[in-house]
Amino acid sequence: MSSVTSLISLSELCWPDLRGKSIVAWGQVNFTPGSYTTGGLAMGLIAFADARTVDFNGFLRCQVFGEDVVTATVGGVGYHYSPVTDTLQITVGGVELASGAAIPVTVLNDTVLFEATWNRTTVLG
Amino acid sequence: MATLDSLLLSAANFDVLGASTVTNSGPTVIQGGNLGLYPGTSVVGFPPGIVVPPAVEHITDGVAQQAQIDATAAYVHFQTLPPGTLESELAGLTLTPGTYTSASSLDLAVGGVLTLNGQGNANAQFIFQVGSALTINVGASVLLINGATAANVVWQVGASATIGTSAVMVGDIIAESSVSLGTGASLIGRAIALTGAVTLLGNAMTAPGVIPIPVPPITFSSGVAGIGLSNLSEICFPDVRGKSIAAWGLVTITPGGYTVGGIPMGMLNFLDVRTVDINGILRVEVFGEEPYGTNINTSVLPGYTYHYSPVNDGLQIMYAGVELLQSQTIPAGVLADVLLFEAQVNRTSTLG
Repeated sequence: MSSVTSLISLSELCWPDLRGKSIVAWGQVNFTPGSYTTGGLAMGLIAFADARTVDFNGFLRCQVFGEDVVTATVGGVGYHYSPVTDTLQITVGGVELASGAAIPVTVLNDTVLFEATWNRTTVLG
Repeated sequence: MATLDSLLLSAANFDVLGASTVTNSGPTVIQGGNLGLYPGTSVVGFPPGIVVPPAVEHITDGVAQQAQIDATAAYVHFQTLPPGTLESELAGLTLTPGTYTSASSLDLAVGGVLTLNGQGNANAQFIFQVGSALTINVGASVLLINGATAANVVWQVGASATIGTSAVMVGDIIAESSVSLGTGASLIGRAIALTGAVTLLGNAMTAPGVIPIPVPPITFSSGVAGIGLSNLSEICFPDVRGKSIAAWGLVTITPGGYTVGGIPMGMLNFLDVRTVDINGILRVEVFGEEPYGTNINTSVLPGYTYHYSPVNDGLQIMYAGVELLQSQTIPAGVLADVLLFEAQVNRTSTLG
């Protein structure tokens, strides 16, 4: 158990990738050592996007994934980003980390990226 | 120190292993181990019973056959150990590690409690040798305290084992004949029948050492849910790219019953009415945007997952990797989530 909550910072890798009606961004998710909070750690993706463009009309999707080789000790970690709460949940073996549990070393050592997509326009059809 | 259940060898990979039949009625959940049958061929009641992945069913195959061989060897091992303390009624007892023997039947009375005290030793072993029938009566409980674990509790039963309604049982049951569990009884351990049947009635069956996944109550609806065309709301479309078009939208599911194979989604119509410049679906993903857990009323992570098949234009809903049952009421956790789809379609038939 750790008394300090882990913090997430986002590093830009490729942004903005403008498409017909959407914008895609890739970046790295960096964790500080510390503890987890049930429901997810604050990710700050909304602020990340707000600070970099005025040309979008709403969030569509964000996927978070590790890029390290999956081995017996680096695997089974899952990530789920919720735009509803702007939080990133971490699961190990399909089970969310317990509140107060230390962020696993495998997560801290992994190269964790995000791919996020926003709507560029209010025009439909 | 190896646990007792390691003596089961390949049979330790099973949570339920029958010989003649495995029959279930009700919402039985088997997790942490496979369901097996050998040499019989009849497994009935799955669904509504479920075997939670990655556990699978082995029906009359070589894997189940080997498991029966290994279970029989373990049975003989435990049966031929020197007899221990003689017991016939277990209610009210607190036992310390050791071997306990009944030349005939062994009983835990209605509502009775048997406590197995590990005395602080995580390797504490409890072996029960039963000459004939083992009966854990209605509402009875076997409790583990002070380091005792289900992996180190074995019930070698010379005839059949009966676990009564709502009873709470732990340990590996290896019965010469059959094993049957009453309605709502739970077992943290294994139910192994060497020559007879395993009979289940809406039981929580969990292999030792496995953290059980809570399964929400399953109810059924007489109605049939559908996702009509009007239930797909456009959010961003068309996102035209070089040779593909992307689309995002909201999926609203009508409350009602589920249809195995997928409830009608209407994706093809959705796309057809919005563009003439399309040459086939490439991929559609459906995903929830609420946090996993309490916000979508499931303690299983990731809980509900979704699979769209353009072959039948249907949306399948899974819980813990298992598809919902026919006419099962669409769970509140699904209805409460914000479901989006992301579709990729081919713009052209031109290749290269």
